[in-house]
Amino acid sequence: MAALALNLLIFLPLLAAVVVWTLPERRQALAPQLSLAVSLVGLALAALLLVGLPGLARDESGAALIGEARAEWIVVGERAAGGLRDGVILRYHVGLDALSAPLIALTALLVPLSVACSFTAVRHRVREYYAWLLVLTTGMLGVFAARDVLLFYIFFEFTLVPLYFLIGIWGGPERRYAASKFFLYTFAGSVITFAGLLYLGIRAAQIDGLSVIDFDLVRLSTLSLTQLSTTEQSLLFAALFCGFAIKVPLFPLHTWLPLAHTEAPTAGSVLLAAVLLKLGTYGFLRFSLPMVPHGALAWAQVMGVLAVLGIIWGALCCWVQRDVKKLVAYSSVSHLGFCMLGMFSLLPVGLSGSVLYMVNHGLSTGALFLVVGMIYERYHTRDLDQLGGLARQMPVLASFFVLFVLSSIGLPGLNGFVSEITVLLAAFNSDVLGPWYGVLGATGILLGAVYMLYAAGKVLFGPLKEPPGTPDLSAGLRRDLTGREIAILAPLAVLVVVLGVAPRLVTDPLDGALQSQILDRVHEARAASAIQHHPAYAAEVHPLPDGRGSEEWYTTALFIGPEPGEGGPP
Amino acid sequence: MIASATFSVLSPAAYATLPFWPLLGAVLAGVLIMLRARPQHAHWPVVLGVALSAALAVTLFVDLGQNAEVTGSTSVTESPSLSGRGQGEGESGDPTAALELGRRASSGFSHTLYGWISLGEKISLQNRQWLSVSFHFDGLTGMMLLFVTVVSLIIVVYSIGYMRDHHGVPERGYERFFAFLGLFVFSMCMLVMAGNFVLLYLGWELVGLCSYLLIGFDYHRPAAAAAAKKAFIVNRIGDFGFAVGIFALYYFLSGCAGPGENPLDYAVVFKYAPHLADADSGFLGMSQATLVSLLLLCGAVGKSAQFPLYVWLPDAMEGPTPVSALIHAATMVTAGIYMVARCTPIFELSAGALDVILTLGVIGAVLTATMALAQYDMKRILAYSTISQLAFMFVGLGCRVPDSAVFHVFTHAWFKALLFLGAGSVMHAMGGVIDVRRFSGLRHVLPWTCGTMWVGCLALAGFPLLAGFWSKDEIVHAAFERHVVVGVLMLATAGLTAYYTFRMFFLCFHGKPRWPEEAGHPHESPRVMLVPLVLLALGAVLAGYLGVRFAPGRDSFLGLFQPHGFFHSYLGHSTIGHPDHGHGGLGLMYLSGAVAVGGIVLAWVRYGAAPEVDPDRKLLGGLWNLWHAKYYVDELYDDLFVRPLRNFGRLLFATDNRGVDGVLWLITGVPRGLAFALHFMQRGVLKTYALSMVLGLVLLMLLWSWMA
Amino acid sequence: MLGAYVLLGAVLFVLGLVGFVVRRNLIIMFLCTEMMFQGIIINLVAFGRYPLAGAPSFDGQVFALFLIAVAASEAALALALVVLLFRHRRTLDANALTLLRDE
Repeated sequence: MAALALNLLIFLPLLAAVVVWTLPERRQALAPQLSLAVSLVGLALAALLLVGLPGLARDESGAALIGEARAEWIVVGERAAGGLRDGVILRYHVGLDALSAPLIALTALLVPLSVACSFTAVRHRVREYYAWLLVLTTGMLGVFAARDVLLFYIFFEFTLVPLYFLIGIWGGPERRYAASKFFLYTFAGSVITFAGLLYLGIRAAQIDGLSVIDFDLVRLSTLSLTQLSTTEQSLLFAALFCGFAIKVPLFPLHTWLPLAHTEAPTAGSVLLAAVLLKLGTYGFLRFSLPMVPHGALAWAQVMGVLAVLGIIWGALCCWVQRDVKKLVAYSSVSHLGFCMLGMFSLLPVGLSGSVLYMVNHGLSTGALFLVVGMIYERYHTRDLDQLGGLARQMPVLASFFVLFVLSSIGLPGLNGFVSEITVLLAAFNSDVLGPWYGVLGATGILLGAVYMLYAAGKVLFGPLKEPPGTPDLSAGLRRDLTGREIAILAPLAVLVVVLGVAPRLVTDPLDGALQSQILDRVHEARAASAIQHHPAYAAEVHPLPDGRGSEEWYTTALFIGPEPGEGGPP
Repeated sequence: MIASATFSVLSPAAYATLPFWPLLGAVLAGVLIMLRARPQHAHWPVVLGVALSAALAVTLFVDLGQNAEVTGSTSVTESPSLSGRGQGEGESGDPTAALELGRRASSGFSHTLYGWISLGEKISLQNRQWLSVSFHFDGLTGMMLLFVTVVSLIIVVYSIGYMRDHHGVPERGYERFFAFLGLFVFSMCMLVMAGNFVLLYLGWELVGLCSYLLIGFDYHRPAAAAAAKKAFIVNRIGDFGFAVGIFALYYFLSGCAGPGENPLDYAVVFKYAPHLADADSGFLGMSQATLVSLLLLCGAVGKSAQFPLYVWLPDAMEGPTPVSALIHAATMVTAGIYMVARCTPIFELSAGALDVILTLGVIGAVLTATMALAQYDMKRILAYSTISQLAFMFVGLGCRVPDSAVFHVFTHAWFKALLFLGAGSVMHAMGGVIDVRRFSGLRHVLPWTCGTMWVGCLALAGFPLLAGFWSKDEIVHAAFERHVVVGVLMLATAGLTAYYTFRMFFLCFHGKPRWPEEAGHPHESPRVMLVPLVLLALGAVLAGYLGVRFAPGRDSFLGLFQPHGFFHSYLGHSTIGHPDHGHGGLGLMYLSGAVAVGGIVLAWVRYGAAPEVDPDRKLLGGLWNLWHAKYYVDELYDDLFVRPLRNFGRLLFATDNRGVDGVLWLITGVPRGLAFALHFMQRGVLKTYALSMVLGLVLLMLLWSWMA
Repeated sequence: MLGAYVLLGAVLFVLGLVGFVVRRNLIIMFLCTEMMFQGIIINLVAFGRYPLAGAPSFDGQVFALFLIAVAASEAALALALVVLLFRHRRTLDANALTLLRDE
């Protein structure tokens, strides 16, 4: 039952896309309604699936999935009596676990909103537009649900295509350049990631002594660590880094983002910021950390430095923008820096804060893009110098804008604060990173207030400034928000408050899975490398029987050599 | 950690609802906005909510007092002192001191509502630590809540009259104003009641938000919008330090906390605070206590508008006057003092940090008192005097008498709120004009306002027997005990305070009656504004008597009063404990009284007739101009920090476009160059393609045959 | 025998190839490709009839039939395209049609 629901959740939008695309021209007006209906059904299905989440959190083994569906899809190789030999297996294997559930929920929530926000904004090639939006939905949901690494990669790349068209056809004046840059940039990176994943799959088969290469997610993330050398893991981490870091985007690989965001239509920006950037962070969480923990450890400080640089760099760039959409885009660079900082603190608080940050960033930045889109629809400009004093004209919009700005700058009581403080606390206390990372990251709190209030002040406050001939209300808009627009923003506003007061709705189900699937792996790797590099520490933390691992034992082993009958250092 | 004594009147759960009633009121007012109802009665939900909290706060105050009598056996005078002045840090090893500290850490009760954020644990998830929504009740909480809620209630009632025009029609945004006020009272109560540092930070930021929203209430005026932004951002600079201080506390103490102890709860932090005293922080050779204290201090300096972050407060006067009274005089700006007083167990471990507080306080007091001498905007004069008084409180904190500082917070709230509301009443009558040069002789048209303002000015000036006198005297006294230079400077500032306060008063209310044309026919404010003024005036007279004892004798002031009364013993049942105030100093009381009177007399001599030409300006010339321009500090900050940072941002953005993208351009240059090199093959001529295909085929065949 | 057939096929193929490369009229070029097809078909049939190893089979002839069908449908399509092209550009000179060139 749950499996059916999950499959429907993923593929119903794809089916609907075909239907929407092939609607006859005179039924064109049905396209938005149909898409909205389908995405709402998706939201209901997601809600249905998430009911099982608390049960999942109680499951100790951590292997259970919601809505698991599994089938062999592409099988290459020799069929023999004992099964397949010398082949490759690609499975269609989907299911929700605690790590992917929040992101699935986020996606399912934001799709109907971004469909609804396009009703008046998109007026040409309508059927195509909604079809691409639905195709994108399938891609995004598939990525998070995939339990097979190759399947993940297929969905991962699959999301590029619809977004390429969404930006390239319905975007702003520089849409073609933006679309190509976005596509090539992210694609170039993920090809290297793909190579890394392939290598990992092949090595996994070697290590386990199997003749069949398969890309099962769990199998790859529970490989014996001793078989994969530290160098190998570091290189693999670097390979995975290429695709994921560009997607995040991590400084200095972020330059595609402002352009893509600025040129994309509102719905594209919303989904890009809220969901597609999370593919990168999710990739790091799901692949880099558990599959190559030694590599993650070796790279953690580099990641921390890049994250902190991104926080500050993005924030300062925000401050000098004139285009408010570009400003929000740069704020994503800064925010995602927080997310990565928490993740690579490698502490439970940091990891759960990081996942919470993904959700919160999706909500507040998605909402900001929606609000900016609504302003743009009326004024046809996003130039901060051409707008001003809109609060008096549009009090409802102004209230929402201020609320989301406050959420974005981490005002306590709203969602952004909880993730920000846990992430910074983790970075500060982490023994991989350290206090300075926390301190420098915390400057982001300060700078965030500076640029966000700068933007809000310019747009909302002061004397009224409108470009001549605006607001353009030809699409049936009102000066202030219409009922439809309020209905789009209200759920986000509610969640922003609810998650600020009760963040444990997200983090509680996560903790067990983070511990068993990621942190245990990382600690195993740490203990192993500690034994190699810091015998004293290792002896203290993980004392081995018969004094092995103690300092004296190592000194003896190092200078005299192991005694007969005793193994060398593990 | 949690004392076993319970409340006798209401249950802790009932007291825990205290902050939420104004919030409920604010939400209801918000609903009224959404329903687009007529705003005429929009103030009711908020007034009722605040009134309910005030009632709860009074009950709590009484309740805590009874508890204190039951549990606390030590009285004020013979309490063992922890922190003798000038003895430095060496004491923390003293066993009686540790005992005292432990007693103070466990003073009060806490009540937990729910676990808010899970902090996990360093290695595993077992033995999880929480950040809870929990409240802490002790003497300090009770005292703060008492005046915060009561003064708020008075000011909210005043606003009902103030936020209307002369015909009683509500101003634009009337509901919004009350909704924000309700939100503010909620936030302030959260700040005061918070049981751990993160919840304190929550209240801290939320009051900052309300300040932002209310300063920018008239958002279409660029000055108001800019002032709101400036207030929020300058506060955030302090909050940055505050947040890092909280991280550092967690960093240093999370290892100490035993099972079931949440490492950022007050009780836990103060219990283990002695560990911070001698441990090295690894940063510039400071002890952990010094580092944490200085970081927390950053927050206090921002919120309480102290040097060097005071610049936002004068600008904040762009907000409506009730806001200036409530947020920027009586309550929010004292949050910094409250926080430092709350963290006494940490601050007293670091003589260095206390000296920093003292220095900042002295600089701020003198600097802003001089600036206040040369202003004409009535509200700005009051704003500078607020900074100056807050600096007095800082000096009190720095001299290890936090209870005197809190006492001054308490008395200051009454008379400063009174002064601002009086100024508001003047402004209301003058049609929004607030420049003291443009009117005079108002005592004839605004008799009630004038009378209550007179009381407020006397209290601020430190006139004997009024509220300001008692509390200010304690601080001056402590300053003299600390160092004679500090004492003299404080006394001089007190004289200046009396002088500029009455300069303003005489310019407004004395001289020949005249007013600007905006005023029309000025008349006294409605009763809904005058009753609050009278109530606050009563407070300005009486509030000080909470802190003195009626003890006739030869060694008492005027033969009647002894310092350190009920207030101090009440506060003793909190993390502040009973600081040592030293003895004697009766002469100083007479001296400070004389200085106040002297300042007033001097103001009378120079400004008693409300001269149209400012005599000080003529007398002081360039110095006066420097004061009038506020020492050019705003411009200095702009040139020193804001613009360079913004330019740096421009540089980074340019680097993004040229540098970072440039590198990418270089990388993509490889395929680009290859494409250019092979570009001749793509001329679109079909036959070239065919020919090259044939040639390729031939080449392949040759290759194949050669290999075979 | 095989040699003769293969030679014939090769001659046809090369004729077509040379014609395709040197002629400029699209219709002639198209006819030349058809000639290359014929050369290949002859080869297929010849190798089917005289296989290098094993017994002769009809495989080659079956392929030939398929190829003829493909060539016919392709001819229909291509000629239609050529006509359209001529209507648009008023020329069939292959050297003048360089829309696919790299700018």
